[in-house]
Amino acid sequence: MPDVVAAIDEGGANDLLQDAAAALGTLSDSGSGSLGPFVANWSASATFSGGTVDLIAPDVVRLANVRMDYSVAVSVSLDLSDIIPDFCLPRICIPTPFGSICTPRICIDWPTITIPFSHSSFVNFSADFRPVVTLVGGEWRVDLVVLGTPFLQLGPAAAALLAALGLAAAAVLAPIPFIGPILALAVAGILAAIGVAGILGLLGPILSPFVSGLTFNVFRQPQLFEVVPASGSDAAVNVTLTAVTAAVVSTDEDELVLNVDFSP
Amino acid sequence: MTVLDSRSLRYVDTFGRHFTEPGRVRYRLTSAAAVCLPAEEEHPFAIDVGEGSGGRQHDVVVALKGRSLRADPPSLKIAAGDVVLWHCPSASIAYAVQGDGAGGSFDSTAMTAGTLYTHAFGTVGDFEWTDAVRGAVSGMVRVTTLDGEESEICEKWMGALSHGALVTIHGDRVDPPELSVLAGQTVFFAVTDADGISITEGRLAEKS
Amino acid sequence: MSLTEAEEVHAGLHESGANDLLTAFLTARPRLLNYRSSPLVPGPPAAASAWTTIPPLPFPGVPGGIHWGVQFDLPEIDFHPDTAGLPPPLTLGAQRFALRTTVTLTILCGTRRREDPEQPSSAVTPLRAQLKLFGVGHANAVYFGTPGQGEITFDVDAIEIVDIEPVQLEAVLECLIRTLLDAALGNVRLPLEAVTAGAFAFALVRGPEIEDDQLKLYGNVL
Repeated sequence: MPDVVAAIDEGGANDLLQDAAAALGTLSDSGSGSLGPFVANWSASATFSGGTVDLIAPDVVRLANVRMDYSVAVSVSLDLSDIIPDFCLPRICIPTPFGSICTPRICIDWPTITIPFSHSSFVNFSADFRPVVTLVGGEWRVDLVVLGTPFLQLGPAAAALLAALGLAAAAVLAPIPFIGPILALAVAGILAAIGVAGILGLLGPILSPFVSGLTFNVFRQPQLFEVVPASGSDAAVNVTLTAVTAAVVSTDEDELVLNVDFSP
Repeated sequence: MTVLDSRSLRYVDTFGRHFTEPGRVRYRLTSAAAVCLPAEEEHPFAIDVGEGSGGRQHDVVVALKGRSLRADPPSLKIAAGDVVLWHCPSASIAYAVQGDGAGGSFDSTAMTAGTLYTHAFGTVGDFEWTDAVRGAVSGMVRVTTLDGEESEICEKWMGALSHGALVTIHGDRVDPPELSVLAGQTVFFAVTDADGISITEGRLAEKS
Repeated sequence: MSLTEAEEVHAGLHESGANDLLTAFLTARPRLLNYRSSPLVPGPPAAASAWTTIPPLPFPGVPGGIHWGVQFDLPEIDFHPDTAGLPPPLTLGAQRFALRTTVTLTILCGTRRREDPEQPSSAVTPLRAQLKLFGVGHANAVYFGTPGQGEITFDVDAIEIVDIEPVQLEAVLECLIRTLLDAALGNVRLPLEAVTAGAFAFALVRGPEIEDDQLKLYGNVL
């Protein structure tokens, strides 16, 4: 029999997971990836909340409808010449005091532009987790580690991000000299070159790692466990946690059970 | 960069000089930023103005060869009354044209009688321009865009680009002092009498 | 039957764990087991810090009082049900723990100089007696204002020292030693977090309940 048996039922596990998700705080990452035919730099952050717990013996903690609130900021640079054809102002001739003068055909050099755009929203997902016990750096941890890569329904997010790209592109293009009515063509060209598929191709690799790397901590104590701190001339009282195990046990309730052994 | 400033000629600008006196003219091309510095090669390009009644236009293309600006062709034979028009098709170069000889000196950064500056306006807005050299003259160009269905706008706009507008500067008179064009259209500034002026956007002139 | 029953969280401290905690506690703070009124009461332990100084027993005509000491060995606890056996009349009832330990009583016995009965004794001889004792008691939960914060304490309800004659002397000693042991053990206060090894912070709703060789706590997640 272990020295301590600690058990929590599904109702309690729900509360525990909310606390664990809040303790995760905001996860952030950045990098670069393919956005259709272009390369984009991105930064993203995510927080987690909600979800309902289903404990499944012997070792699965299933979380349904966890909400991931995310924010993605993308910056894509592209040569506008790749999107819209070269455009030349025609030769213009007008009478002047010095005779008829004609300007040469002036071909417009479309610039390379950088379009920053962003989108914040949320996506719900469900995932199975397994309790993993580790002793690292003198600390016992029981973490719920996600199994596999949960599926994220990112279609609506991709559509919204593409719309954000369109608006941002229009804003970036508007001040470009001689863009005129070509602006609409340019925006359409950019969106067509990238498309929802391109957005998904970028968004998936950005958001999936937040979920596939998800870990909720449910137990964390130093191996040298302080029972009572030092007080006055009295020394602290410590025990050494020698073993920790975690499992899901099913009786008339499903419970997450931690067994802890210690020695004086 | 497509700012309105005759002191710094860009690919959307041209500079012209009406040669009325026979004789030899020598000129140089210089970076707009280095106008006041002595040239490495004093006035390397030539225009021989012969007798005649003129009326023709000769185009000179400005290009960067190595580290120097070059004129193509480097020398011209024209008739009195002809106009030479300089243009650089490269968007990355800003230049000025300075010369002297038969008919007197000329300088694109301080235009005198017989010079011409054209500028294609790329963006919508009100462009108040002034003479940055001594504040002798000023005017306004209002640049607008077309409203309407996309397909109609595109056609109309393309048609409008073939038409330009003329502003004549004679001493302290600007005619017209104010005009409206569409984004993409070109305005010709013809200087028939002046002591050396520039056509410069107001906000740039305040800094100089 | 689930461990948590009607609550969300359950923590069960097995008697082996309880004994480990007691050992850790009383090894770190040996002064809770060793009491003496004078350093002349011999150890072990040798270190002065391992003793709690108590006043000598005052008595008229005994200048300075009677010097004495009392020491307890590390007690060993057995949660209900009884696995080690108790001497009658002790029985281990439900929700109770049994304990066994050894108490050492020491008295510094002084001698008078016959030629001057008014002079105090200048020589003392420590006289010691070790007695095995058995006891039963119960556990309490003490709550603090902050939810989830509290302590488990232990009360000794009765002890038995076997075969002291006459029986009235046994009763006197049992009362005295039970009082001392209860006071000494009263200094052992285990935080709730220690009882659960820090798992699943919760607000205590039920317990401590002693059964199945464990001290059990029940509560809801904070």
